[in-house]
Parts: sequence; C-alpha cells; structure tokens
Amino acid sequence: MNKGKIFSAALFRENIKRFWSLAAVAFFMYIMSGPFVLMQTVGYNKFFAIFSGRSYLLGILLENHNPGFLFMHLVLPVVSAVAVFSYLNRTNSVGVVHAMPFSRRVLFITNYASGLVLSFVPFLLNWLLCLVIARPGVGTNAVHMSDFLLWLLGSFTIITFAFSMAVLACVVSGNTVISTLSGFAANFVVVVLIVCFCGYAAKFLAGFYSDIIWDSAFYASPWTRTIIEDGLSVWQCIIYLAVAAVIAVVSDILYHVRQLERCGDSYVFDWVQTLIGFIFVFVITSLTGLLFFEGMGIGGYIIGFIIGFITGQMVSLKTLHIFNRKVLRNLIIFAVIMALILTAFSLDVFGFEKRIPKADNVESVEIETRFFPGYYSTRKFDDADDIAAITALHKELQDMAAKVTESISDRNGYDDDRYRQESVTIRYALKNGRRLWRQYAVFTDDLAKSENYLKLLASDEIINSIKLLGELKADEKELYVVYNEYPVVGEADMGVSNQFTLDLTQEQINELMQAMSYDMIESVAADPRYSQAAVCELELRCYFRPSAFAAYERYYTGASCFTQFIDAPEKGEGNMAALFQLPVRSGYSRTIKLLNSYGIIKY
Amino acid sequence: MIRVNDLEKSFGEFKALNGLSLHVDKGAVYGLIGPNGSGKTTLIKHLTGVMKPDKGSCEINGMPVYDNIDVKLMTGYVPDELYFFGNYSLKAMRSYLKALYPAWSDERYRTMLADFGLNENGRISRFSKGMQKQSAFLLALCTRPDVMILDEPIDGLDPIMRKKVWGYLLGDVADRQMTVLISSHNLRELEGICDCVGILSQGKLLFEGRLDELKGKAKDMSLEELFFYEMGGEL
Repeated sequence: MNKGKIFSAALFRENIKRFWSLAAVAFFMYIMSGPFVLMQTVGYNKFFAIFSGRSYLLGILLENHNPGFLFMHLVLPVVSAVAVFSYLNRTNSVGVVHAMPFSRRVLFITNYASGLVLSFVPFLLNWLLCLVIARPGVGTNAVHMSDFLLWLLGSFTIITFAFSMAVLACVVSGNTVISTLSGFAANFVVVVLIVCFCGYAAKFLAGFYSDIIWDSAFYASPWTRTIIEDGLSVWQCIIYLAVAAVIAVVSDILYHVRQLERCGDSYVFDWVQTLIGFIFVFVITSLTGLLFFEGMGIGGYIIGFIIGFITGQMVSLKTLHIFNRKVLRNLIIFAVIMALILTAFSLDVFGFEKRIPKADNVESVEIETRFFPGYYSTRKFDDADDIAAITALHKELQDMAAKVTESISDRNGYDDDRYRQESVTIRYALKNGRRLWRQYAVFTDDLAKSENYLKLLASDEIINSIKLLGELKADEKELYVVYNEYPVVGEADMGVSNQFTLDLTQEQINELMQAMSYDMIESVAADPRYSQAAVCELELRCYFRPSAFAAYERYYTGASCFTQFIDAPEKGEGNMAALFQLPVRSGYSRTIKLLNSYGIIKY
Repeated sequence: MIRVNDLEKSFGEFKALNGLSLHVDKGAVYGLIGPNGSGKTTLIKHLTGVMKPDKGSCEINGMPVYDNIDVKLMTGYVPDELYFFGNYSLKAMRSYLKALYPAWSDERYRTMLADFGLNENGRISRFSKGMQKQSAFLLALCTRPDVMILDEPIDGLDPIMRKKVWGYLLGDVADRQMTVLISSHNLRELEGICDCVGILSQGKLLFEGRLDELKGKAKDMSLEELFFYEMGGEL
C-alpha cells in the first residue's frame, strides 16, 4: 500500500523542526543586509539615511548584487543540503534512518524538499519585508512589482541551483567535511574547468577569442552569472531551473545505487574518486603551467601535474598513503590524458587556426578595432566586396599575429613605438546560421599597411557612419570646447569638467559639422593610425524630444565618435540630449579653417 | 517469518555473506551467533533494508525487504550503534515515530516509560549508554512490530533492566506472535531466551536448529560449548 509513496510529511516536518535554526540565522543575515539598510532610507533614521539612496539600494537588491544576499544565496543552500543529508555520513545514522519506514525515493525527495524550503524561506520572508518597505509602484517610485517578482524568481533559481549541486555533492561524498567542501566546489567546478580550457586555447590557438568563453564560463551557474550580469531573465531562470531539476534527478538515481556501507569515505563511488582526482590534476596542472610557472615551459605543467595528482589522490582517498597499484594506474591514465590535451592544443589538431570561412559562406561580419572611427569601434559589413576583403584580411591577420608572437623575445622595451599593438576582433555570421569569432593582436604598423584593411576604411559602412555627423537633425544644437591646445576661447589647461560653451548660430554649427565629416572621411584612410595630434576637442549637444529618440538611437552605435545620451529637462520636460565628442585633428583643414574664422582657435 | 535465501554480499574483495540461507518461524526467538567478521551485522543490515543484496533474497512475511516501506513498518530494530536525532527528547522521538508507525502504542509508551524510570523531556544524547539502550528498546517496542531485530541488544544494560527488557520482548512474542532475531556474543543470555540458534562463520551458516533439539543431540552441551565446538575451538 505504500509502494507509490514518494513523500513523507512526518519526515518533512521533522527536518524543519530539527534544522529551523539554520533558516533563522540566515533570516537575520538577510535582514541585516537588505530590509534593515533599506529602512534607513525611508526617513525612519536620519543618521543612517546618509548611507545611500533608496533607489540605489533597491537597484542592487533587485539585481541580486547585494553582497549579503549573494553570500547567503550560496551558503545557506549548501549548509542546508549538508544538514538534511548528514545522516548519510555515519554508520549508526545511515542504518537507523534507512531502517525506518521510508523507501530511498521517499527519503531523497522529502529531504530535498525540506532542505530547499529551509534554503528559500529566509529569503522569501526578507523579500516580503523589502516589498513592504519599498512599496513598488507607489508615488514616484520607479520600482515596479514586476521587478520584485523577477527578483523573487531569480533568487529562487540561484538558491535551487546551488542547493541541487550541493545535494549531488552530498550524495556522492561520504563525510560531512567533504560534503560541505564539495557542495561549495560543485557550484564552481564547471566554471573553473571552462576557464582552464579557455587558458589553454588562449595560449596555444592564435585567434582564439576568449571574451565569449569567459562569459560562458560564468554562465555555468546562475550564482556566478549574477556576479557578471544584472539579475536573471525569466527564460534564463527557466533554463537554470530545468538544469537544477536534471541534477536532482541524477542525484536521486545515485542515491538509489549509493552503497550505504561506504559512509565515512570521502567519495562513495569509485568513479567520483577518479573524477575528483582528475579535476585536481587538470586544474592544478593548468594553473601552474599557464600561470605560475609559465616561463618554465613543459616543466611548469609537470610540476603542476605532480602537485595536483598527489593532492587529488590524498583528498579523494582521504589518506596520506596513496602509493599503491590502483593509484599507479590513475597516475598513468591521468598523465596520458593531460599529454593528449596539451598535444591537442599545441598542435591544433582540430584545425582551429586554419578555419577561415569562404566569403561566399558569410552572411555578414562585424569587425572591432580601435582604428575604426568612433568610440564604439565595431562596424558591421554585409557587402560582398567588403566580406571578401575581410576574409583576405583574416589571412593577413594570422601572419601579423605570428609576427607578434615571434618578436616577443626580440623586444628591447614595450615603450618602443614599433611594438604598439592593436587588437582586431572578427565576428562572422555564417549563412548556415553558425558563428565564428576570432581575435588577433597585431602590430599597429602592420595593420595600417594592409590594403584590405585600408579598403575597409574606405568602405560605405565607414564613410556613411562619418556622414551621419553632418546629417544630424535636432531641435537645438550647442557646441562646447572641452579641450583646446591653441586657445583663443577658454584657458589652455582647462579640463573636461570645465567645458566652455561657444556662441555660434545653428547654421554655423551645421556648417562646422559638415566640414568635419568631410575632413574625417579624408583622413580616415590617410591616417589610419590617428597619428595626427588633436588640436582641440569639441562636444556637440543635440537636444530633442523623447519622441525622436528612436531616430537618434542609430547614432549611438553608428556615429563616428563617442556618443552619450543624457536627460535635458532644462529644454523642456522629458527632453533629452545626444552628446558627440569630436577631436579635431591637425589634418582637418576645413574644420580648422572654420574654427579659426569663428575665433575659437588660433592655429 | 523471516526467510533468507542464498544471500551474497561483497565489500570490494571481501565477501561478507557467501550464499547464506536462514529461516525464522513466526513467533520464534532466533539467536544469531558467530565470531567477529562472520557477517552478523551485514545480515541484519539486509534484514532492516539498509543494504541491497548482491545476490539472493531477504523476505519478511513473504515480502522482499529492500526499499519496502510495508516491511519496514512491521519491523522493529535496535542497532548496536544507537542513533537519535540531535537534541531530541523521548517525547520528541515519540511524536515523530507516532506519525510514522500506524501501530504505535501510547499505552505501551507510558507503561514502559514509568517502568524504566526515564525522563521523557530530557535530551536522549545526554542519557547514559544504558539509558539510551532502554530508550531504543522502548521506542522500538512501542511501534508494535511483527518482527524485532536486535543487534547486540543488552550491552550496557544492568541485570535488572535486562530482565525487564526480555520480559517485554517475550511478552510480545507470547501475546502477538512477534518474531525476534537477536545477534549477540552473550551466549549465556541467548541460551535462556532463544528457541532457535544459527551459528555464522565466514558469511555462511554453519549450524541452525532448535535449541532443545540441539541440546539433545549435543548431549547437554551449553550454547557456549557448542559454539566453540562448531568453530573448531577448544573448550
């Protein structure tokens, strides 16, 4: 009659009764980090009110960037998991609990549920308190109920994921210390492994674009993702919760096959011992070879392998006596695997470096380099000729990057202008829907001499982005001088904060911008290194009504200079201003002529 | 009724149970004896559903034991190494076990509590070893099990308390036909209460039989003497 039973209310209640103190401590940790600080900003306490603004505090809470909350989101689930599954670690408790009228499924599901409740309820109560204090949607408060609900879902996701990983660690390990350490480590192990692979790729594979891998490494867990991003979206939560559910199912299966007599062992499955041993070897070998002893070449990896192997075996076997036949077998297997990994990377056996797409297979390409005009120096090319030039440039970049690598030992000093480097990133969108990203560090001189590169600088994509400057429409434009090397107006040493407004008509400003866009078009190919010094730097402010914002958005990424949007209530409620920062270089003859005639500079 | 057929269990290279078969009739008191490492505790862990057999079967009242809630509901267990939830009193344990075992008897609980003189509000973890053992017996017997499995049950109990414990156990055997399996090294104690005995060595049953038959065949040898005889030791 009890065959289909999967949950025991009695055990659930008992777990809550036994471990409620964990949740109580966590509740106070949360309350001191969130609601207590938030309360000080609503006028209850004038002294503490100076700490910070409420919207700022709410902002970091809603994005889960509050350090106290983030800390508890990880610590409490791990501690709860270790507590509710602690009976697995001692012979007396494992015997008595499994002799009670529970199946293993009932034990696992009930303990999982009670541990998750213990982990989540302290946050839930604090969430409710914050809700009451912040009163979203009331008055001029910019915080909405939907923000709070997303925070609730995001936190539930982080807690559930961390808890599931910790439960998995508890099921495969056999003592409390190892369970606790593994519970924490499990939340980071994938991140660390991806980072190590990223390190090998960055060292051995020319063109490897590591940024995206760094990000994806942190995406391995919602907790680490929250560190680098502002909160989680609903879809991200759904995906992470699905992964947490899979981890829970795997843990349940492992619980069923777990040999209870192995309680007290570090790890109760032989394959986990081997896996943990190898993770130690891989991570420590990578760290020493790639980082600490990089200069020693292969010697650094060997030192790391020895340290990692001995440490890993001692931890996984929980003994100092690790020298036996089984360990020798592991030593040989691990050494072979590490040798294969190093060989695969150093010889590029998967042909990573050779992979340059044919121009016909490319839908569009984005190139990012500081040489493109504009602060956001990324440009997208979809013209067939431009794409052909890029694939040709790609081959050149490989040679240029090889030259950089070869020249490292020849350098006398990094300040030598010949060794100035530039990073070029290519992001292909292929017609088959796949992406291919590469990044190269090359000498600036080499890049500036490349005909394919100069062809891109003269492309419509670049020219049109510069032309945008002369075509700007606005209700009102103002021009400021933020820097002036040859002053007529303002002081020679004035800084960015001491901007000086120019008394020019709208027509004069438009004329100046037109001239400047012509100058920039001419100089972009003539001086790709921007070797010409800036005579002065102007800031153009274009005021517009919010309804025109969409039209201005294209300037944000497309314009040929640094762009910024700011609120401009002084020009009318809700009005905005787009800021364009424009260095005037010595080769901008038309612009300089006009500035001279307006009496702004004397050059 | 307990039935074990051709049970095998290995821990790595070590074979703890090696084709063990055993049978305990309903209402019988079965004494399981054997030297250290003979497999007694391993067998008990199979009978309480803690371990899964590598081979063979363990049945109680015709049902397989492993992962079977119905069998566990009718089985009482007093282990060699006791375990109670931290900070729990007898009263708290009563409340917990009452929710788990439908056959729980509050009347038996009150009677035994008064008889043993235990403080139901005191933390069990702070009780003496003997009092903890009494608590374990009390809680196990209050679940009114059909089968009681005891692993070294009388260690730490004084003679008066032993008499009381055996009294309750044998009372249930007489009243409810409860089946009892006792593993113990105290052969004199077993001799006084067991109907049947089984001698275990190296994971196998060397000898099994009713105690009265045994005594007739073995010409009035004591259980201790029989044990030595079966194990090849000298008297």
